[in-house]
Amino acid sequence: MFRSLFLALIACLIAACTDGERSASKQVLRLNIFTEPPTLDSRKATDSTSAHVLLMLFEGLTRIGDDHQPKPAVAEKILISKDQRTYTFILRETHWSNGDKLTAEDFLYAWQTILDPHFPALFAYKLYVIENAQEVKEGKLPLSSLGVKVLDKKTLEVTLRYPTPYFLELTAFPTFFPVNKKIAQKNPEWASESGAEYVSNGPFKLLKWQHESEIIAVKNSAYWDAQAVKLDQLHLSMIDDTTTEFYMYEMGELDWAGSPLSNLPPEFIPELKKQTTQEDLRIHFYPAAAVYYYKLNTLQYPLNNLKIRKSLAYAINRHNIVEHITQAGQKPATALVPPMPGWQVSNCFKDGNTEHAKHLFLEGLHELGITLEQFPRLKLSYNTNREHQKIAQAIQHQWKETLGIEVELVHFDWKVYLTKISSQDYQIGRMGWIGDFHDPVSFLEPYKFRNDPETGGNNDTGWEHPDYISYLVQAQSELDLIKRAHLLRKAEELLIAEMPIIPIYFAENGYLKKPYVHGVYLSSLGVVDFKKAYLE
Amino acid sequence: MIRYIVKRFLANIFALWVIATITFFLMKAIPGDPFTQEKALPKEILQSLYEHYKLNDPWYIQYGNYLQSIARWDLGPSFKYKSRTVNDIISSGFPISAILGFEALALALFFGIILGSCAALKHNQWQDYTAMVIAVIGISVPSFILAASLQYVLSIKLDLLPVARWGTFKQSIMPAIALAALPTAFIARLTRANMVEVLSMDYIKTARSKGLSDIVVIIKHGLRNALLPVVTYIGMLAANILTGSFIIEKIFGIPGLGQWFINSIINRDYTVIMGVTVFYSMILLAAIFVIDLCYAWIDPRIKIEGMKKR
Repeated sequence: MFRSLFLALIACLIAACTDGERSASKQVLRLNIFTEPPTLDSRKATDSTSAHVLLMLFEGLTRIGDDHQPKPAVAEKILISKDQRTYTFILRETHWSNGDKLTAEDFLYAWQTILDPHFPALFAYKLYVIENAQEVKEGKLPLSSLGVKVLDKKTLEVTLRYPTPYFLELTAFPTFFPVNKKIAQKNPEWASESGAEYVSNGPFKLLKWQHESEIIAVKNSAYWDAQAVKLDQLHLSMIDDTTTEFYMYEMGELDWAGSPLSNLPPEFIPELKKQTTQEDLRIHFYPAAAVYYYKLNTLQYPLNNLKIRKSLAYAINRHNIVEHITQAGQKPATALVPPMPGWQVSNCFKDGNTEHAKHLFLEGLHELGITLEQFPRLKLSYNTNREHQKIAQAIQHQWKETLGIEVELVHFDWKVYLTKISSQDYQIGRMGWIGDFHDPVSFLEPYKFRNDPETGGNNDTGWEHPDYISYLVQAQSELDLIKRAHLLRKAEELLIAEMPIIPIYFAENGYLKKPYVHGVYLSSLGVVDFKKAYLE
Repeated sequence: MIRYIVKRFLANIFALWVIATITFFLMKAIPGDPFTQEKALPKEILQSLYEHYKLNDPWYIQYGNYLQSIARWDLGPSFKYKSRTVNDIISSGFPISAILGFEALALALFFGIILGSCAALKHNQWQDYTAMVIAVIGISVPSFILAASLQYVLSIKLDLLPVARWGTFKQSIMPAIALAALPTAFIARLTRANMVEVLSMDYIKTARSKGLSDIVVIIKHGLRNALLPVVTYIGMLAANILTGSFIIEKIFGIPGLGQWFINSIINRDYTVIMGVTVFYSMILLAAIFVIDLCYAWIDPRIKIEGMKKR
């Protein structure tokens, strides 16, 4: 009986077989986006998977070019006022994929819904650079007081809270994308499925969205710059296993593996780095605007002592860690802000300065009035993950070797971990931070004010410094970019001198691509643009 | 019989309520919520999210809403996957997991019973030892190791089967084998142990002395009794295997239901946690119920209350 059932099932499955073969003449790029995109409504998107797909399907006022600089996109001309607070965008004549005309209203509508106090948009704070945006979201001011005006169908005027040198970079980000007002008002769930209602304005449009399995996007002939788009189709699989992805790549079922859509399996990286014969298995590395560091709870004994904090930081040999533990191209970090276009990375102290660390540690013990034997066991927390564990073990060992202290490693499920950190129930905690835009502010701003339990925030270290706040405030209104950079650098140096955080490494992204794939723009923010990609 | 079914049905409803209640309170007790993330959110945004998803309501209102949504089987949208409702997730994921599960179940039963019967017939001979070595390997090798090895050998080295994904029969072969290994081994051991016992019974000797062949004795007289414990095991197994395996679905990129059991908890995706847990319980309770009915059919000595004597 089971046998016949089994045979019947086989017959069913063969009948259901729908796997399309790849035709050689067509430009089809096959990628793995790792998971089902949580949403394809740009207003609700918060994760990188959704952002990757949205960047294929949509276009904002600007688009990031291959030189990492924002270029006019839906906006044809951008006028910036003298005080750098008012941006006037003159839009091109562009259309939605269903033929509707795209107007300035579509931008205003998208931004207003995001800032509507009743609309569930996690990333609403990205719009807070716009005048009154925060007050509108808080419900203190009406939507009409938002600093965005539609002057006519093709002109959008945006007033900012303060001069924001990175604003045109923000407008290339999904949260700032337009939404087809006519459709979204008729059906709030327009973005749930592929079909007639899913309209976009970017280089590709959504053909098929088979949830948790595959997305197929095809060239959008209604796109204003369609002649620059060479790919006919993008096939996006959703395989959330890095090893399987790698195998599929090796077997020629994918054209790309690893960053930024996914990751390369860490255990394969050392092998891959060694091999030189096969072009398609050569890892390409590029810097990520991301830093890996340990947060310290400066309110707690003994980490309330600056010299103890510094000695912990100096005793770490980052070079060893990136060379022998992580092995994926990371760079030792002795500052908070990673290398970015227009920002030379600082070197705030010497890596692995064990002599100085020992010296400072003894001074710290003296200030605390204790001996080494009386120094308490420290607790180092991280979220459960093999890579974090390996780094923590290495640092535990280095601290034991250099300072002679005992460190206990504890790990938690991701959300439990975050809850512990934000309630300051920790001593030393691992953290990674990826920039939202190419500006040091993206890294420095989180440490401006210490968290208070009421409002929350990102600075769980308990550290706050009046000079730090003043540097950041001054930088905010500084129009001269050189002076601004100088102020930000001073802030960074102060932060590292006070050591509420111990930087460990600046991340690098690694990927493999088939030699016939060209024209993919990668950004250190983990964003990727396939608009001009082609196969040859 | 009808009285029995109604009674069991009511008992199952009660069991479901208990499960839903425990799940609800356990779920609320774990730290973190769907919006806990690395970059802390401003207060007003969190508030608007809580309000939108009705997380600001007192617990008894939330609890009442959950029970209602389960009763109406309208489980609401996922917190994380905003374009998906829990009903969608179950109705698209379950058939896939179930097809794969059936394949694995069929494999496990077929090979498990054959392996076990052979071992019992050739008790303490080399066939027995070989079968049991296979069974021990099946039990002790974790499915993800088996899955990765199958992938490596059959796809990468021999290029016989596709590495992953779902849609064709070929793509289902490796995941089905990986899923079937453990239950095959378990069924083989269960069958063997019982068969050895049954074969020493008097009625088997009688059957043999009547001049019946080995095959007929085994199939007509032996298996029927030896399989009772296997049937018990199948109830649990079916519920587990039909609702999908997290690890196998992850490795083979299969869009089944199994991944949601783990991912929903990692994401604190409250509606999905409730939905898939209750759904799994329903399948499990149904499987146990069916198995209980099967007992009576297989073993005439077991009588179900209210059922007429056969």
